Amino acid sequence: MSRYIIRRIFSVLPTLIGVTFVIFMFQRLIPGDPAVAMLGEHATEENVERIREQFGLNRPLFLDREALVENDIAGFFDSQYIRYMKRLFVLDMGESIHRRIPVAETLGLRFPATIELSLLAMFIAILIGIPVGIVSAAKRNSLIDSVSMVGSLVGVSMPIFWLGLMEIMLFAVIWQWLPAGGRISTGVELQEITHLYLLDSLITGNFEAFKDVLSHIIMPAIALATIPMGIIARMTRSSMLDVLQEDYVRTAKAKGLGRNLVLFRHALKNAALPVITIIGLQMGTLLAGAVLTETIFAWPGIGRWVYDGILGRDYPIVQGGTLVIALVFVAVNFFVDIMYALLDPRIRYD
Amino acid sequence: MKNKTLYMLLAAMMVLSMVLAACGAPATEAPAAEEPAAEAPVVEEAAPTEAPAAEAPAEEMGEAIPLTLYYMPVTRFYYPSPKEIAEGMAADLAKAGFNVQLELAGDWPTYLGLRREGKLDGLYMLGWGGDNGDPDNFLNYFFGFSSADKVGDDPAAWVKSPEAREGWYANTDVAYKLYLASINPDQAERQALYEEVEQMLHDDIARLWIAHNNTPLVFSSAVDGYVAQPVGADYFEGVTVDGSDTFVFGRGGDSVQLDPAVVTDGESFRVTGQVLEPLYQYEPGSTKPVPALAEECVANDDSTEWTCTLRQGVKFHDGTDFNADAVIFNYDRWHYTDNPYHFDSQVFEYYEYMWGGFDDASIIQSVEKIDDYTVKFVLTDSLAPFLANLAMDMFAISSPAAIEAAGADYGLPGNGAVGTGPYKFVEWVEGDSITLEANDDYWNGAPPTKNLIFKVIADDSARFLALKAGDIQGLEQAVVEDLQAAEADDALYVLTRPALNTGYLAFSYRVVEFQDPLVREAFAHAINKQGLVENFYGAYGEAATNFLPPLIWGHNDAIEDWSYDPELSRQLLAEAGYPDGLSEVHLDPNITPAE
Repeated sequence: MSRYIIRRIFSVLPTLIGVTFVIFMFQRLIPGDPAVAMLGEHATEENVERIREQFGLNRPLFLDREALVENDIAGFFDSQYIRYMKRLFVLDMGESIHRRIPVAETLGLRFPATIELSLLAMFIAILIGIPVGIVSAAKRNSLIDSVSMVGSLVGVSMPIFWLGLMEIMLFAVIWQWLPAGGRISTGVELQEITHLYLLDSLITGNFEAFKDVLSHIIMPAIALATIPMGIIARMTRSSMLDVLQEDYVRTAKAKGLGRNLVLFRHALKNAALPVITIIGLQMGTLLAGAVLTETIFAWPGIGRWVYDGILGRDYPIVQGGTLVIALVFVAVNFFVDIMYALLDPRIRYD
Repeated sequence: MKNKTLYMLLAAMMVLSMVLAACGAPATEAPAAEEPAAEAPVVEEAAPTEAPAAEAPAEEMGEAIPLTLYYMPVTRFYYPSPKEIAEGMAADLAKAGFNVQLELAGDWPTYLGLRREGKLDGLYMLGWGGDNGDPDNFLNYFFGFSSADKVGDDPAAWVKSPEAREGWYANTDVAYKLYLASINPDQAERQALYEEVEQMLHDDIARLWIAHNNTPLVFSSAVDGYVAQPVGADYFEGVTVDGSDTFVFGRGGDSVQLDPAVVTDGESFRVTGQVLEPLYQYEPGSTKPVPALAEECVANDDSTEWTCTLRQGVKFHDGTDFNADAVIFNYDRWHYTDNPYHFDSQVFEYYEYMWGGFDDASIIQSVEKIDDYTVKFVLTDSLAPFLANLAMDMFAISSPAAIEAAGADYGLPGNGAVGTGPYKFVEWVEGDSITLEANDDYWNGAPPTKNLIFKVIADDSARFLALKAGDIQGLEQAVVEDLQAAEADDALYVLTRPALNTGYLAFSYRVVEFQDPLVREAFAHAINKQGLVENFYGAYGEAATNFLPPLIWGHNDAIEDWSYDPELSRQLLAEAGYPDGLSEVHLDPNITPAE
């Protein structure tokens, strides 16, 4: 197992390099220039040139053919991509072109916001999705089954922005129970340790802040949770139904084991594999869905930040943001693989 | 593992692309350094009015393309819903026999880039918002001589080149009159020149001016005293909020930086305008420059020297004194590229744009200290809009001590900005909010509301709901339905910012057919501006007859707009040689955009 883990960690590297390459290339295939995007309607030739030079945007993308002709080997390799990789090698993600703030710094502030929101959304999705799926499977074709499956279909199909606006309308405007957006009220003091506000407020025992943070996060988390919740419920149900038809379940029942024991001890563990896979995949979808949720709830995460970066052609932001999202993807998949082994002793990796 | 194939694929793609990149042309090469104007053949000034386009055989007219209307990919204050407006225009044009194809050229930077390079071959939507309320800022930027045109010492002999940025339109008569207006210190004579220019542009149908839009802002009825400015940052200093010492203003995007000298976006100026002040500012609610940090500025006879008396006893938020040295420190920092505080990583875009360049190219030759509270601006040439320029947000005076301390990080979220304004910088949570606090020692009296918070809520509908929920007390930019709801809601009210903008439809003169004035006139009679305004601008827009909005002096009230008359339009089109309407046009082979 440990050998597998080590090998797996090394195999992540080519994936990440591939990600940097693809993101780097596709971004530059979109027409439009960061200097023009930055300077807008008033951009003069001199200033556009100056910005391009300053950020190395006047260099070739990958390799400089002209330098090779002149036998300038250093110049041949002095390209935008290689400069970027060199910096990345020493963990420098560069500076935002528009704001000149180091990307890593902003990432450090914004990434925890997205992670906190996504984790809570996933927690809600699992907490509701799995029990609903189990109950539906156990009481197949009953009223409960029909209602919960229609419900999960609605959850999957509902546009996030619409649900988000409805939540704000109801809970913030009409009932005035919750704030309409943001992450924490101005004036609420919170000592930041992990930058996950819920966790930080608990660690420091600051319950006033915890209440405030919770009131801010609950609506976006629910809006974000609906899609994975629906998918998890449906997946749990179908996986459970498959397993419940297996011979060993029939045997267990025939031996006279109690219904719940069969359901949770024998069936659930075997039904869990596809569910875990789906949860892993959904974690990635959550990060993507966060763009919409963050926009509607004014949530200062990386979704909206990367989106604005794309529109403004702020290459370092897009590169840094997507790299981190890719890392999360890889980490989640890795975690899912490990879970497989833990759940199903037949799976061996060596 | 199944992922192995994926890795191999990626690796293969990488190698392949590297090879391709090495063999093919470098993908992002710097654009040719020379001005495109230098290469493009100079279209004679009179050419647009005499090109017998319709009779020329097709092979001489160049490549045939569909008649295209490019619409903007984003909402701007002058075009509240560009796609719908474009559809409205296309419907109007269809009635007159123009079969227009609507096209989205790409997102905003792409669109701006294509327009800069003169590659929007057809009709395209764009607009302009004034920077300083002076007509020069509207007209000269688009129709005046560019630096490349100014060949020789005799301005009367200069020739306007067809720059791509202008849709290849070149009118030397107009450019020369604009030049005369830009150096004339006499207000009445300038006004006459601008009115004349407006008439010439109208007669030549250089563009189709569509509409001016008064931007609506929505407030909670608890709020009073907000002044929406047609130019420059809004005044927050008089705002009171019933039962609260905090005013939260909701906006769609964050500020870029808080050093006003290096930014160009309204969301930055909205904040810096509260923290810092220029020597002059715009009178509340108007575009008239009035003294701020200066008590007055007086010009010599030919207005090449301006002597400014500074306000005494004013302190920056960091406690240092505002005086002649501070003014000179700021202007020198912007002016000289070798100044230690003119950081390489910063672009002083507006200084270059408003004052003609840096170092020796700048119209400001020097700023001299006469005594501690008097400075003299020495100009290389007379500059009529001097005070209007002085009052712009980007020329607000920062504390020299703060710039020395923060270096190139001045204006970034960790440092904020230090000025003399009614509010002091407190905190900037990037992408979320900027918090300011009342400056109790403000020379013009402490503002009544203690805390001022600018909150970013990107989504228009969510921002409006946040206002209804009471999270924020004011906002800019709302969708039409929400504005209607706000007008009907007792707890809210709508305030409009007087229009200092114009949305227009430009012709690319690279299209041979557009060079024919009859065709342009047919277009002018085909568009129902009044209908577009009623349908898409609601109560906030007005149809445009000039490029200059009515608020700016120089607007020519006497211009009678082309009537909306599709029948007449068809007739003109037939007269121009297109009895069956127009659906295909040709590119002028003599005009080629630089690659």
